[in-house]
Amino acid sequence: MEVLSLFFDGLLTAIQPYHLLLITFGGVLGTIVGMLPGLGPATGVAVLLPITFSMSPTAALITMAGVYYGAMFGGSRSSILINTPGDGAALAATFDGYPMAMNGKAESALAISAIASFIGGLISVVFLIALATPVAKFALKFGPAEYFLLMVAALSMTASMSKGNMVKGFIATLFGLMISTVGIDAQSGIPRFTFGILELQTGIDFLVVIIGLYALGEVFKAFKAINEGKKIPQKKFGRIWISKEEWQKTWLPILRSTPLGFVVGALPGAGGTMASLMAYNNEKQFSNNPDDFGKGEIVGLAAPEAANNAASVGAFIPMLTLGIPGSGTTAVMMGALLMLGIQPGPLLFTQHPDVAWGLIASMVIGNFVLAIVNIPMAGLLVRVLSVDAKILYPIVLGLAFVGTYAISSSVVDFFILIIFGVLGYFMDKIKIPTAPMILAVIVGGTMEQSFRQATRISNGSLGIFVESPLALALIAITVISVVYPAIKASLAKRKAKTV
Amino acid sequence: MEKQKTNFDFLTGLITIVIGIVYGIMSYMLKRSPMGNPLSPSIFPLILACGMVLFGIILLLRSDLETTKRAFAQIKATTTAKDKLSHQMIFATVAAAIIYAFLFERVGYVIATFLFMSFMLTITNGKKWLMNLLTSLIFSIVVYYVFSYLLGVILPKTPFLNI
Repeated sequence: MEVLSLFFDGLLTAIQPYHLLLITFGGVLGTIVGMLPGLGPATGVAVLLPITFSMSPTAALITMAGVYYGAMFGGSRSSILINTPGDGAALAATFDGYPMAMNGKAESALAISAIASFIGGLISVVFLIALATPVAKFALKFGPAEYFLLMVAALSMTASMSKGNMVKGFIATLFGLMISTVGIDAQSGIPRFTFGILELQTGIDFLVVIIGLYALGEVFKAFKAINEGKKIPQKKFGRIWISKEEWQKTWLPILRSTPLGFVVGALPGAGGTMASLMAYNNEKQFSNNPDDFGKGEIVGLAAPEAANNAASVGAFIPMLTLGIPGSGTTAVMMGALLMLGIQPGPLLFTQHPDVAWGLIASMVIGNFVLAIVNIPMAGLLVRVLSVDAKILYPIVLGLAFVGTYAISSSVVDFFILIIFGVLGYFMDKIKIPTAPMILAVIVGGTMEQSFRQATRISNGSLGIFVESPLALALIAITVISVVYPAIKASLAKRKAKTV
Repeated sequence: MEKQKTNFDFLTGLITIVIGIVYGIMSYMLKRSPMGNPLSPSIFPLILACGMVLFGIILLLRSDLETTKRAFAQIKATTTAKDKLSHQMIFATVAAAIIYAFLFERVGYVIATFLFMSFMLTITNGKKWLMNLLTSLIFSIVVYYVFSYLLGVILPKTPFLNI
């Protein structure tokens, strides 16, 4: 099998000592950022992206995979120990993880979260290996019209599934698309929305938008936590491992939650938050003692952790094969790829199979290394957390600025960074989700180009968007993604009224 | 007493409509393309503008002014001293960041960053001067060294000293 040999080539590259060192290094840094209250994998990757500049694409990807996994592990640490999730996906880990730590079972909690994440991630990579090439091959059949509709479908799914309110999800998406139109129009050479500012002619770099929303915006939100006093985590641990009974209880839920997480993660917009919450609720329904959930039930920690990691791998399918990131974190990872001059999409697997499979292989290794690093070193890493968020938040800010400068070598981008940081804070206040906006900023350019290519082929007629069966199917998906949640919500409302 | 709903949807809807209209006008006013369809650079933005206005109107229709008024009143009523402190911290950070941006290329990375970090640490960490100054110094020098020498990113040099 060609796929397997490519994957093993990737594995061989990833386990070179230099690359192992990079994964560990990235993983430890990612864990530290991920452990900071309020900062999750997206922020971790965004802030630590500049350390990969000047690395070769392979080395950079391997480091980022380490950071990504590190931040996910770090997020569950702070969920379990101080009841503060790093991001939405780590939220479910607080339900039973924190009560476990309170009941004196922090060791089991830390161990099972690492074990469940590891198993969930590993099995999902097998799914990914099986699915990536067929999906990429299928996507090669897409013409510009289908590609445009695919992005419309992905964005509308993201918008309609975003937490809170669907209308606000669409507003965020459209705003993100607007941001992507700033700069000189590639086809006509006409500057658009630059307000006469020279630096805006090259457009607003989506990495700056990401760093602004995630690093600055999240730190702004976290200021509140600083003022409310610090929660002191447990620092002394016994042997971090689980008992035989605990394993017997959790292995089946872990295996059940993995495919669920993977599928949910592969859908654009759903991502780790929804996957982990679904896994949690599922296991609660399967359980003989559903009342134990929320009081330190180990299954209630194992299932969402497995699902979360599985979802994070599943999210790589649309990102790598279609060039459409399904979540904030994969959007940042896609930013990292674009930064290295690699365009994710169907062609990635035919033109740069080494990069695609190298990334997938480094996910496996990253998962492995992080599980090893996190179990014995949890005590040490947690001590880093207690260093003091008050010192670490300014450092995150400092890194955000130097990272921005490294991207563009221009201080004009500092102002863009500040604007988006403040915007991120206010968007949270008025409850507009940021993830759809980021996805839109990233795919906006390609989306417009496909739209214009399609209309040029058809001489301006919009008929091209309804010509092929594939296009019609994509339109149907878009319509369903909008109508279904609306109907569901109104049904729920009616039900609530009659009760 | 039933808890009354509060949200900023009315205001958000209004802002959305205004952004949509302004963006739409700007899109229409764009220079015409010299080749192909003269409107081609404007079509996609115009679609976005229409969408923005549409969703703004939907949001506006589904909310009401009273809810937003209540939300503002609620914020006023429930803001604690700690919330005020966080707002001041955000404001101070933004101000410091703007000054940082102005100093960055003028006094060089190390000095600008040292000042910015010292200020930020004073905001978050309080008046633990030794700790703050030491952290800022180490951060600015280490980052400068790592970026310029290990990562090959050119950061603004310190004038006169040329480091």
